[in-house]
Amino acid sequence: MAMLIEDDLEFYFPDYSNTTTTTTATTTSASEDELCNWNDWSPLMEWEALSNGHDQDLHGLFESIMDDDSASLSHLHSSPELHQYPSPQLEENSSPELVMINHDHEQLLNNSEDTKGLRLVHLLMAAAEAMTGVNKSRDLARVILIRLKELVSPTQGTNMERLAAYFTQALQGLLEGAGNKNNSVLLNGPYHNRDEHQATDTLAAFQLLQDMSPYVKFGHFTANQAILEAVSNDKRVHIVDYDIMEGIQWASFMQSLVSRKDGPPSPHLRITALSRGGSGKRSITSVQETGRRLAAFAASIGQPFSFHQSKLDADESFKPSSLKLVRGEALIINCMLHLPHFSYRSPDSVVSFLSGAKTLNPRLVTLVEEEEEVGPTADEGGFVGRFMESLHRYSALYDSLEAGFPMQGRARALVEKVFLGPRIAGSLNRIYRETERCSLVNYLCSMGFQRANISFANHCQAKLLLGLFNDGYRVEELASNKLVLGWKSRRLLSASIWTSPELDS
Amino acid sequence: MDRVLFTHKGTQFLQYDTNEHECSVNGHHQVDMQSTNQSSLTSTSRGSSESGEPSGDTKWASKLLKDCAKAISDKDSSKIHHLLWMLNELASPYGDCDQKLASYFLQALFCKATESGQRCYKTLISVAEKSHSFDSARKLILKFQEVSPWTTFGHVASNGAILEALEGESKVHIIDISNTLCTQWPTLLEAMATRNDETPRLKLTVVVTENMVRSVMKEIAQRMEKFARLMGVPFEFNVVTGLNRLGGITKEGLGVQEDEAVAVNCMGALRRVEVEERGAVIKMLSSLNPRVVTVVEEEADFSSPRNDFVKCFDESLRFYTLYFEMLEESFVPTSNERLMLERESARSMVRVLACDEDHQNGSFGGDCERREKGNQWSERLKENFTQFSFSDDCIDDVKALLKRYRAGWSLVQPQENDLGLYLTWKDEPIVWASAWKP
Repeated sequence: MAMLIEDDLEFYFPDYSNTTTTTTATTTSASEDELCNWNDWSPLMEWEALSNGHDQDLHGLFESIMDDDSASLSHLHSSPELHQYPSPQLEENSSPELVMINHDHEQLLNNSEDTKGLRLVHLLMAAAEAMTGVNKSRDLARVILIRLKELVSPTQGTNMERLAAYFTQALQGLLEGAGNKNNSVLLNGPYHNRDEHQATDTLAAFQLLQDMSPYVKFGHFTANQAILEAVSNDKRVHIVDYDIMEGIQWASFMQSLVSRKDGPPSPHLRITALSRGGSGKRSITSVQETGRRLAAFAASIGQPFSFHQSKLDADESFKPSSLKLVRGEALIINCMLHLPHFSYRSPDSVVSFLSGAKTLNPRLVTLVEEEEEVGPTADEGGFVGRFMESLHRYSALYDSLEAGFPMQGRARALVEKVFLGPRIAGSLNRIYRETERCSLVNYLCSMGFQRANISFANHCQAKLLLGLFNDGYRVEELASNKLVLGWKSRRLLSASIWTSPELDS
Repeated sequence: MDRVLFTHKGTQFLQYDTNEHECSVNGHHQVDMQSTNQSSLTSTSRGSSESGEPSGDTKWASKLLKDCAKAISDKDSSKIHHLLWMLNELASPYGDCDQKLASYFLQALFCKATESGQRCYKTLISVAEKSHSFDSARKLILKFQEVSPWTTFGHVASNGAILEALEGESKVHIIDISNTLCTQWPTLLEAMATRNDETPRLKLTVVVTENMVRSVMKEIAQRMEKFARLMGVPFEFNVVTGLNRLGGITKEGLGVQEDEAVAVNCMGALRRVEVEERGAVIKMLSSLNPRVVTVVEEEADFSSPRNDFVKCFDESLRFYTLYFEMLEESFVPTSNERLMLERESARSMVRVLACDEDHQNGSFGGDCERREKGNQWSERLKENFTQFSFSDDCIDDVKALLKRYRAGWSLVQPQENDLGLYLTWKDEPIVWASAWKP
């Protein structure tokens, strides 16, 4: 079995190849293994002289916020009398609760960062509350957002500050454009109109994303490994890809096919990619280009390959009949969703795809999607609850990126600008409109798909992959067919594999 | 042990440095929010004075403040905490009207919630006293009178009534209980000097309770005497300074003599008397047998909802919103005088909202600030006096006065059922003037 660790970005994107030497980042070993060298890359990348040494682990901050809040609140509830409050004046230095008096600079700095992060979270929550619910007040929301904008910037400051800047702008978009479907901020995210994303920007951000985090690779490798295992004896393989994007998943896959040491020669690989009417605004490349590139790559490594497109209607409903199927081929359905650089796909579209796919009795279905937290707080609290959950999720994401690239604030800011910012805006928009959340895992179950076990090798591969990045990442096997990637205690991305009910698993 | 409401986070959020500034909230008082978002924060509409409907567009400051007052009344600790924190984040004494109101009312609410009103008030007073001087006081009141008829309205109306009531008298004693530093009297002196063939002898007795006013009376006395000399009016000036509260005023203390024609001028005076003592003071005034008593008060009711904190708060919010908006439109944006007046209001807010007069501590200095409305004062005054209407000449004088100011000011004339004269700003009555005789 081939275990894919190395990235062939350089090989795969020949136009964007770069010179050899690895970066001198001292932290993650992933950088040393990577082939891309940032320094020669793009004039955007200026490294910050100082790291954000005092950046709190945002995630830990959240935990402490939740704990702290519940602790202080429970105190409040238990003592309705207000008599024992200390003097509000600073003269009484003896009070141990007045932390700010501490002269130790570092502690002061940490405390003030902590305080600021806490403050931003509270302000965001207050803004979200002001926008919905019984006590709705647009004027209040407006004023809170103004205040927030003073405190944060999308390109500077700590993780929390930058994250808060995007959330603030997203809320602003909601406030102004509520109901206006053409609101550009809602569709494209904040800060979008300021610069048009150049293709190079997007590509640069994508490469950075690959380097600073394992999200994309996790999804791809887990799916690919499962597919490899499923087609080990097939002569013809047909993969239908819901959202092929730049196609890099298949570059890795093909590499693995040709490097199989034992077993039969490489099967013929056919990929059908779904394409949509308007090209994605942030897509790195069009489906056709992806196809061409994949074909060229396949040729270069001697992999028999053919590429097809299947155009979706405007309503994005999938018609299985549009696929050209060949007798005897192993049909694989690949559905990557929610990777950081992906565009939003509506649940209707995905459901249409999956239900159509089912009628074709595929050998395997690979699904990668965002892992939603299920718990008492997740579903309650309407907009505010979901808003806070979203904040929590993205803060974990930001933390994880920072852990991967602690020195490179500018690089991360680019990834945030190109990918995460628009996602935040879109995500909040959907939450605001109370769009149904859809867990596709549940959907697949209900449709009758069977779970297919994640192999031990696959699980190990995932662990190895994460080990290259940062030990804050964790992989869990949450069900027999599902691996979940998480940062610290926050589950972020899940990869699951399924088979059709009629076939043997 | 429960430190409860104001944990370290709370005190970090709310740091009142009363040494340098009256209210420096969280250290960002230097930020002028107007400079960042010009149009979005300024509020010139008066929607905020409306009652708080739970609609989507109520002004934010009034909404938060009212919610906070309610939470304090309900003793809902977590809500209080949350709202105070939010107000603290959004308020600024240097921002737009909403932000200022939020800032000053926040201070009062905070004091109420922490039962630190008295201490806060004392501190605010002492800070104000430090920077107080004759020059600063004079500058302040003259500027205020230049841009707004808030005080001059009462002056002109009262002077008119007083002059008419004292016509033909040769020995006149005016008892002045006011806080306008005798700016009312030069015009009256002039009228006396020019109107009659025989200029009467005028004795002016000024009653003072505030320390700040006490400290400048000497200068004022000198100037008044000099002015009277210039006008050729035989003049005697007395100051009654021994009182630490206005309710202690007595007939003997005023030095009224039998052969004098007495006029009593109460300009924002009666509200400074403790509520329980108001009846007695009015009775005492009637025992002076004055020819006329002029009463001018701000039109707001802070006394009847005394035991209903929310109601009292709502009324003070309504009144001060009007007042602050009026100040904003009357002064230039960078006016220091406006800031002084706002701070003075802030002290009143603390006094009314956070200082519980039922405390047995005795008087801790300063006057009561519980205003009542014209009709309420009338009920009290009716016991000992009869109201009469201002003459047409007098009203014409007031109208002429108002013409000198910016648009927005108007008056409500005496009517059958209500003989008082009201100054209105944007059609809201805000100052009430009345004249009484025995």
